[in-house]
Amino acid sequence: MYVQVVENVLKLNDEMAAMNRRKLREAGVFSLDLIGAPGCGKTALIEATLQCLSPELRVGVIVGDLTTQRDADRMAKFTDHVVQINTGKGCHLEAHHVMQGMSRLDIEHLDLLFIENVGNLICPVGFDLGQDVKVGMFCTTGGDDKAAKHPYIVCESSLLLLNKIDLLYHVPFDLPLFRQDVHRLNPDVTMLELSAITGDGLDGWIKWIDAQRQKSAARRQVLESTAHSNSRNIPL
Amino acid sequence: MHELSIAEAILDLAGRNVPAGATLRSVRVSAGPMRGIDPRCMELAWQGLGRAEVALNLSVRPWRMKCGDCGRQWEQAELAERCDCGSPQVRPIGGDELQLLSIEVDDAEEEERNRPCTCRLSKTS
Repeated sequence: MYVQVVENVLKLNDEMAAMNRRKLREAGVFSLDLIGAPGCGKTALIEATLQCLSPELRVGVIVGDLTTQRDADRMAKFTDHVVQINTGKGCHLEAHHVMQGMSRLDIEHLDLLFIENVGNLICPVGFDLGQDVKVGMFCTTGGDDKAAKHPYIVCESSLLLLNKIDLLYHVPFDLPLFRQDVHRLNPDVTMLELSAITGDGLDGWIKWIDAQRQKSAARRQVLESTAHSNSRNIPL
Repeated sequence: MHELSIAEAILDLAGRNVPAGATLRSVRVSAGPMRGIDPRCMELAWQGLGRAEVALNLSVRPWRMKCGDCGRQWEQAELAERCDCGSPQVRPIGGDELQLLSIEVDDAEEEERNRPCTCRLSKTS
């Protein structure tokens, strides 16, 4: 006997992601899921970002790796709010990992949350974590064909970063071709070129985060005022 | 190897849809090409779940492409980088679906109802 189902396979993950998203938005936390291959500079970028952001901002980090606490140890020099998630055999973070990480952070007192995914350009893309935005990261040393070879991350990201721009003239990397591939796959995506080590281009990244935080806060205010006016219209 | 997580999610979702008293026999799943699911890796991941009695029928959809210049839309197995009109402005549309379409179950009660009457058969033979 056949039973028709027609349901999203990752329904359970998506439900948990929706719970994470609700909790983060209620707490007024803007969250980013940073996805990139191993060695592309995700941790270095978060380290540099933590030093560039306004000291008034309270920033949390959930970092995923198969094993070790090394990334959390690196970032703990710049913020007290770091949680390392070890996935063991898992090549990506799932919503339950982030839920677990959030339970170990004082979410109510954060403004911004970075989720550094396990180093991988493929698997993490399809798993919603409850973040506000997905940020895909490439690097010049990884080769100029990586955007063309990984269309899912290009199409799903709100922002794409090209890191290690300081090494552009030391490695074979066709920047116009890379830009063309990105634009072909996702004409709407913003792309920033930077170097987490030298700091080139970091100001654009910091400005982008600030602008996104403000947009997100404005959206939340509209939703709250709509909910408030709706509740006033409910007859007692 | 996200196939293992996906295999677990398929089995979990399928299990939730099995009617009471029935036994799961197969699942039918459709995946968009964006998901990057390799059918051979998926088969290995499925075997790793230890449920050999449940068959996985996975179909990976072709890429659906659109040309930004001539507007043509078409499907093909590999991601295209150029349209027949010569334009490189081709991009994929959708392709990230991942759905459990249906499951096949053995319904013990139904089998019992449909079972031929062996005593009558034995009398006629």
